[in-house]
Amino acid sequence: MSAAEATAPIALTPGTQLNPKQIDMLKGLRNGTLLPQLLCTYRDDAKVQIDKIRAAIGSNDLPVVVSSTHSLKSASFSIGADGIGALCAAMESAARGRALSNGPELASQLESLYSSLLPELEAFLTP
Amino acid sequence: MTDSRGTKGCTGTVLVVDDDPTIRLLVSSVLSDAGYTVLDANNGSEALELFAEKDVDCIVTDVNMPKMNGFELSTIVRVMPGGGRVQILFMTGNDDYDSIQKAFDAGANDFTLKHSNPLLLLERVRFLFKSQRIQDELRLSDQRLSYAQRLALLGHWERSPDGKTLAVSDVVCQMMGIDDPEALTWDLLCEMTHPDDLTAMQAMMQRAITQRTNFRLEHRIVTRRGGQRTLRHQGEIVSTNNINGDVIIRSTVQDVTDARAQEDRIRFMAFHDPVTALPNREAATQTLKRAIDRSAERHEHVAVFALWLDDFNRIASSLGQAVSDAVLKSMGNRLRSQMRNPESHPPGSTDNDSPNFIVARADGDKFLCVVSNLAAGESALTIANRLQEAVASPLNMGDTNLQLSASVGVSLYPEDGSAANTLIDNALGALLHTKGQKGACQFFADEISSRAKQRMTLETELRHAIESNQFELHYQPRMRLTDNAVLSAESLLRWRHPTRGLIGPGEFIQLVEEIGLIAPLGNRVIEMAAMQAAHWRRRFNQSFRLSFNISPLQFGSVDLVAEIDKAVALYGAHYANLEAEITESALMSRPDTVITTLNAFRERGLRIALDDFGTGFSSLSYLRRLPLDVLKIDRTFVSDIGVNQSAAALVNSILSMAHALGLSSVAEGVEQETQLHFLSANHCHEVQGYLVAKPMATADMEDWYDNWEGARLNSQIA
Repeated sequence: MSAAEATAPIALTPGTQLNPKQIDMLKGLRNGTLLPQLLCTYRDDAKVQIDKIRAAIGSNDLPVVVSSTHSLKSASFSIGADGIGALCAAMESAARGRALSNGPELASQLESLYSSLLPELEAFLTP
Repeated sequence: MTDSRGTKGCTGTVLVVDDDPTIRLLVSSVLSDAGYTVLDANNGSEALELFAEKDVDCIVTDVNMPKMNGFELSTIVRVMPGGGRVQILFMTGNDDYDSIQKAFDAGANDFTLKHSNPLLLLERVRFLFKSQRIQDELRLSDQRLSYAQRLALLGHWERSPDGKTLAVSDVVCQMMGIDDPEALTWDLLCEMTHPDDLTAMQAMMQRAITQRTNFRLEHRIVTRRGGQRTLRHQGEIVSTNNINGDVIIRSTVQDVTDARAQEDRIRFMAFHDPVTALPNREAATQTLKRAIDRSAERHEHVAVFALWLDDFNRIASSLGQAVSDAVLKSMGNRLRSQMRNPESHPPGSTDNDSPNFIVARADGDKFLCVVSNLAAGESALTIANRLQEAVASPLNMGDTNLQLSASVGVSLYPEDGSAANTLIDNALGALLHTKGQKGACQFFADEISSRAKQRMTLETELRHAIESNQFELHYQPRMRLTDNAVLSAESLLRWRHPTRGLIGPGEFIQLVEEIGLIAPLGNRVIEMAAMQAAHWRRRFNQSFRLSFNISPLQFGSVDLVAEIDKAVALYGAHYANLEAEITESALMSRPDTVITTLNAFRERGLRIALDDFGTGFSSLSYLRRLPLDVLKIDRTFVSDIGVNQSAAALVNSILSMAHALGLSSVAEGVEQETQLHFLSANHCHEVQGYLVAKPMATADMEDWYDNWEGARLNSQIA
């Protein structure tokens, strides 16, 4: 993915952020009891990582941007949050290429995706 | 760091390393559910701590982590204890080819895609565990093989197709005294090979390569420390698909130095005499066989010389074993020095005996010399005389100067036989024919053969008879003239020959002495006499005495006192029931030793009789010095009593002398009443001979004794 592609806006479709195939696969583990744990862990850690990304962009700390987007990317794909995963991949790539001029905009985009994901996550977390 | 345990089939411990808690939770849960014990760590540093503390079988690690990344973790783990065995699985991104390559460089066993189904990761881990088990089994198998090879001193090597490098086991390095296996190349192996073995070794390898055959070769190497080892290789040639026709050579290698040395020792012992280190008769026979084959083709002559040192047994008995061995060794060297230049090796030899000659020790004091390709103008007689002259040179043995002589028997090929054994037997036969003549040289003639054969047969039979104990004692009673009481008997040796029946000592004792077997036979006589004396002390009467004969040669060859002590102790005999009969000739050599021995007998209460008195050369001064108890008058004087006056006068004189010296007197060979009356009238104490009784076996002697003593006592009562 090129830096130019990385800066392109990600299409958001509220209510369908979680990849259903991945969710189905995760539901099959531990008779479905693992999924809420994973999503809970993701919810909390993603918030931390997004905050770190926002701060790092603000201070132009590219290595932190790389490591945090890399980390959030993997976690997102693993629970099926493919949109956030793809945006993190683009941001990681741009940060590695030192082409993150639209970083604040991307950070906002990331926060929006996360915000819209939260209700989906909560739906799995509430009994 | 957390630790979770599952219960589903899989066993082993997996360390999951990722800074992302979601991934850590996901991977740990899947592995734990499968049954693995799972440890997890947030980064490489934590992982190292856990690895050092716990027994970890597998590490599943992320690449990028704070503090320490996966590459650093893997690199460090590999050099930690247990780090060589642990399986390391990297979780990488979809398109992160760079990380995959780096992971393998850092020691990874495998990689998996981080975003894939976690159940696929589980399968990768299972595969790694299976791979680890196989590796463990292989490692264990290698260890067992290595251990077995070390025990068997068996190593292996493999030569690369280019012929330069060798992959070798540790044992090979040990054998060759090389510390670094990488340093051992084919060229170095050749360089270390003993120069005498190198050409043959290389030729054999080349032949095996050319013919693609298995090979087996042995060669010596000279180690860097200067030692010499013998290596045995057994290997195969393996073709490669290389168009140059290159091959791989694989081989086991064994250090056979000790085995080879042992074989050499055994071979040496089989073909050499232990005293002189000269080749033995077998070696001489084999050399002679080869000489005959060669001479038959070339129409040459071969001479066999059998040589003995005249009167050596008698000399040896006065010198003792160690000195007589040294004399034999010295004579062997002299004989060798008289021969021509060395050329060949007798079987098993390491010296330079030539194919033209061999000097061997046959047995006892007999040597054999074989000379082939007799030079023109050089007669066998000349060689024989040269050998005799070599022996005749004065020999200084410490305080003793010896002047020995040798007699020689000669046989010639092809005149006197065409077989090696025949020629040797004929030379020995000719030698036996010289008996009694010192410094004689006798060529073989047909008429010698039968007598020589007889003697050699007798000698062989005698050796066997002594080994298989075919000897027994018979007993001839001695009667006291004052009251006809039988108070003693002489034991006489008999050989119960398996086909010829009972044989008296006159037929064999001289030969036993000549072939040096008097010591074991004499010891056996002492044993049998002690056993019988112990029995008859109880059976006849407490003071019944049994005499036994001691050969003059026994004084020099064994510790007689110790032998008698041993026999007395063994059978519970009493010294007072034993009497040793010696002859005057015992005094001719080593009189001091004889007197010391006889004094030791006397101290124990064992009586001493001088046998065959009057036939030897002993002086009266010796008679005074000897601790004698009994004088036995030889049968030749007794038999002439009543025949001529001088014999009677001589016997009378001997009896008077015995009285004067305080000795008891016994007349041997008494066969007639007139002899008995004369001896009685002249105060002879005891008589022995056919008139009283002939020599008898044990049971007959006991019956005779009972009858005799019964009749005597009855007559006294009457």
